Amino acid sequence: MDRRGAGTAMRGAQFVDPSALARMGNLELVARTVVDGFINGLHRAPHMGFSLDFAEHRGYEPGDDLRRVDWRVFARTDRYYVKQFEADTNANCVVALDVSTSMRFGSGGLTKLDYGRYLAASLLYFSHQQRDRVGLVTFDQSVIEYVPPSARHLEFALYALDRVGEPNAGALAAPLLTLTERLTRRGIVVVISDFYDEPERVAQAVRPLRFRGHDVAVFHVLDPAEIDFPFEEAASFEDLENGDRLPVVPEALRGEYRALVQAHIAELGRLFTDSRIDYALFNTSVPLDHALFHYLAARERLRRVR
Amino acid sequence: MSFLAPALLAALAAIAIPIVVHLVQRDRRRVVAFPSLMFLRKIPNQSVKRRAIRHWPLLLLRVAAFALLALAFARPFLPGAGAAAAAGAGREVVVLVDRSSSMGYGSVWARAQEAARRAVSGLGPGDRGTVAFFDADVDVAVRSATERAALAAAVDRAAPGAGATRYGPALRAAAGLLESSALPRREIILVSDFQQSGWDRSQDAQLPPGIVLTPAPAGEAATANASIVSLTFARQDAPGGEQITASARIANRSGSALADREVTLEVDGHLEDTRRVSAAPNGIETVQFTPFTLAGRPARVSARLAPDALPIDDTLHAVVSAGGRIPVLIIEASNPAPDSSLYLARALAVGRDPGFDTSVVPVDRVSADEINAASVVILNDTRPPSGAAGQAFDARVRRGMGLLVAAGDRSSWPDGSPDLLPCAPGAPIDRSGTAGGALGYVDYGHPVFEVFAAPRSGDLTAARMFRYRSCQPETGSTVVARFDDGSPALVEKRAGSGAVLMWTSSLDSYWNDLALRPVFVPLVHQAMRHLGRYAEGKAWRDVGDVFDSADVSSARDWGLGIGGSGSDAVTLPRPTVLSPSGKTVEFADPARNTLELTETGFYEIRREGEKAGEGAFVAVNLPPDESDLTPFDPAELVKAVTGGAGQSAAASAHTPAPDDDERRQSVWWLLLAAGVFLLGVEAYVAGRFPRIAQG
Repeated sequence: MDRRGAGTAMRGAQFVDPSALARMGNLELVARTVVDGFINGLHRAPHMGFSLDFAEHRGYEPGDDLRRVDWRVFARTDRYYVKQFEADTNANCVVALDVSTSMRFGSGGLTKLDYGRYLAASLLYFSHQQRDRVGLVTFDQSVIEYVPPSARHLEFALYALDRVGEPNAGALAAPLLTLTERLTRRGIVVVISDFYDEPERVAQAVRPLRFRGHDVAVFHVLDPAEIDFPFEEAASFEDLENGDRLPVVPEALRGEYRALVQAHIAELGRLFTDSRIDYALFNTSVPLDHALFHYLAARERLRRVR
Repeated sequence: MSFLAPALLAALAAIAIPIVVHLVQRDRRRVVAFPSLMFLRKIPNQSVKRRAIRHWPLLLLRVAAFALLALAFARPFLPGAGAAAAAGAGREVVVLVDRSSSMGYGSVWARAQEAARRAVSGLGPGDRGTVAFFDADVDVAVRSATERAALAAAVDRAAPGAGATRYGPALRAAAGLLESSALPRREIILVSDFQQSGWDRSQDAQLPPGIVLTPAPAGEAATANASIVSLTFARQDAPGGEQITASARIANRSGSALADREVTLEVDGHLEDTRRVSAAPNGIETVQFTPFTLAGRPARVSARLAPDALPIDDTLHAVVSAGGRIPVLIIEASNPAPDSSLYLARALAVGRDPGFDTSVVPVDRVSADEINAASVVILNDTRPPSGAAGQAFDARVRRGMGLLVAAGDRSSWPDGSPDLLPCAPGAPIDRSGTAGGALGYVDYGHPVFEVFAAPRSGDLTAARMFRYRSCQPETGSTVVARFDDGSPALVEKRAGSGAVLMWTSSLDSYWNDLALRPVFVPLVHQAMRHLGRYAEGKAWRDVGDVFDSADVSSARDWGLGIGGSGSDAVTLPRPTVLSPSGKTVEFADPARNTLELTETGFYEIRREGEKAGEGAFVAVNLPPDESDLTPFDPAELVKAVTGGAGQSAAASAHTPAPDDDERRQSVWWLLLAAGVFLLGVEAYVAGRFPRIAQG
């Protein structure tokens, strides 16, 4: 069944795999109590704010709003204390999806772009469920679609996912810099791409988001053929980005290729980790929910370590 | 194995297709879209591995299929014995170069040599070549050689000669050379100016099947040639000898007029006269020179025209001798009628070329010396001499003297007379009561009557024959003419070396009126020439003629022209013959004094003891038709001698029988079937194992 043709009630809803949603639902219940931020209740607000959730008391200081003075404590202790509440979790959650030509590759019928769109839709959906403001950016060499973060922009975001335009060569630096400039409010930024560039340049492109205070996660989406290079017969390999062709005897260079890819992945992971950016590799052969689950579980473990 | 269509073997190059596909296209045909070549480019170049051929069995399968198909369409066949030789592709080539005198025109010979060199250089490694030169004869310079240098050297050494062009003998000789060759392809390359006069279409020059005739024209498109075609000499008696007036006929074989050309006359090497001549286009002009006196010895005469592009025919040589004379002795009856020998003597008196020294003697007063001095004796209505004269008479007749017997009223042949008569004269037949008889049958092929053979050249039957003797020819006699009643009129018999003619009537006006007829004088002259064995001497001969030098020597003894006779068959010693170029001519046949004339000019024949200039001379000129340079279409010659088969003759030279041909060509079916089978296997393998098929 063509999932794209099935979307009638809400455009882009077909990107949300029902089975993934079901499993993600369970995941939400588990994660809500553990992690602040990523899913409602799971992520921790980076700032103190005004909400119903009491955080702590602190001593009154001149300038504090007198309405925040806890008069009950003043009655018992005759000191002025101010009640502090954790800020509300209506954070910005922006997904930046690479829609360049290289993302159109898929060896098993499912392209990396499709996989990325499912992934983005799932993230946006659940963020919206927990009342986060959701936004979307699609880009190749530049920003193609930009849906500003808003609690009401889920449909727009899903619609934008649905109408990915003509393929173009991709680049990270320019569109992510544009995104950094546009996202004035700190939030969660998820970058989904195949990151076909030198690791250092990829890291340099993503780091500005982190420097602006965003909680940045990069999802490295790769097809299994890109990782394992299972080709058998000699052929001309055509670069989807620029059309260049290269005669290749796969069996002669498979080992070297795999080593290079793994080195690339490892380098990306190291660089992003060093920059306090979450990095996750998504193999399109792995079910989407499974991948998300593993990512979140890992993130949870990391949070606990913190 | 050979191929009917060897050009299709070029399709064997198609076997490179699968090889190239396996080497190059195997990775270009299949294109794999890949997100980025970033990592692949970091890997060192795999070009060596990329060029390595994989799937050798499939490659060999494909190559074999292509090769078999190409071989099948090239139509291989297994040659038989004859076909094997044909397939050997060796050629036997005869380069036949015209070296006749007409090839000396302008630059024709240089072009002919170049064409011959091209023909020689065109010989392949397996070819054999023959270089032969021809005019009227054929001279094989190099025979069936493989060394092209030797063949080319023969061409370089050759030069045009003085002979006439004769294509027929040359082609027959070339065909004979090729017939003995074992090589399958035989070809004649004919290098010539293709002179029309050299091709006699009535000649049988049909080439055997399988011989290809390739003409190589070397002549010029437009020719202009003037030549002296003849010299005539008018004689007039003069003190101290004969006064000769020479006239030269000059032919202008050109579309343009001949203007004011110098023509000279030389006698014995001295310039006698110089004239100038002009002639209309394709016209003939006669130039008459100042007379010169001929005393005693024959004179060498040369008429020379100012040289043109073909100088060899601009000079005509001749040898002029004093006119010959035949001594004739008329023996008449001792009491003859007053005019019995009148008509004979008057007829002989006007003879010229030869003239006749006539003497009339009664039979009872004739001497042996008179008989011995005569070349011809006429017994005019009388008996034969008796006594010593009679013996001399008999002996001279048997040694070659001529005898004419006129059997008139007084004629008799007593017993004991020499047995010389061709028939015994019988009783006279009188037809005077009527209008008289006439000659009814005449052998116009006989020398006596041959001058009357042509129409309106004399009516022998107009003479009225009133009386004549009956005659019964003896065995061995020939009746040359008969009267209208069948009686013999003229009977001939050979007596020893001499000839005897018997006229059964009289040679006066009593028994017939022949003496009053216009035919009488030439008839008598012809009879004297025949009986005197007179042969008119030729002033010159043509190149290529064969003559007997003894004739020249003996003729000189009689003071006659060349070929003159009357000798007693004297055996002369072999003379020395010098050619015009001064070389001594060797006689080809030791038993005969004959030789072939090959040069223009004067041949000198010296007897033993004679010095230079004292011998007899023979003038030799170019054959007159060789001066006519009009060409003809070589294709006409090719068609005539190859029977219209032309080049196809070679193709059919070794045509095998149809069954044998089919059997030997059936190989291609097997190859085609094998090729198709391999293609089927390839298709199966490629379909069954597509990854292999991708090569």
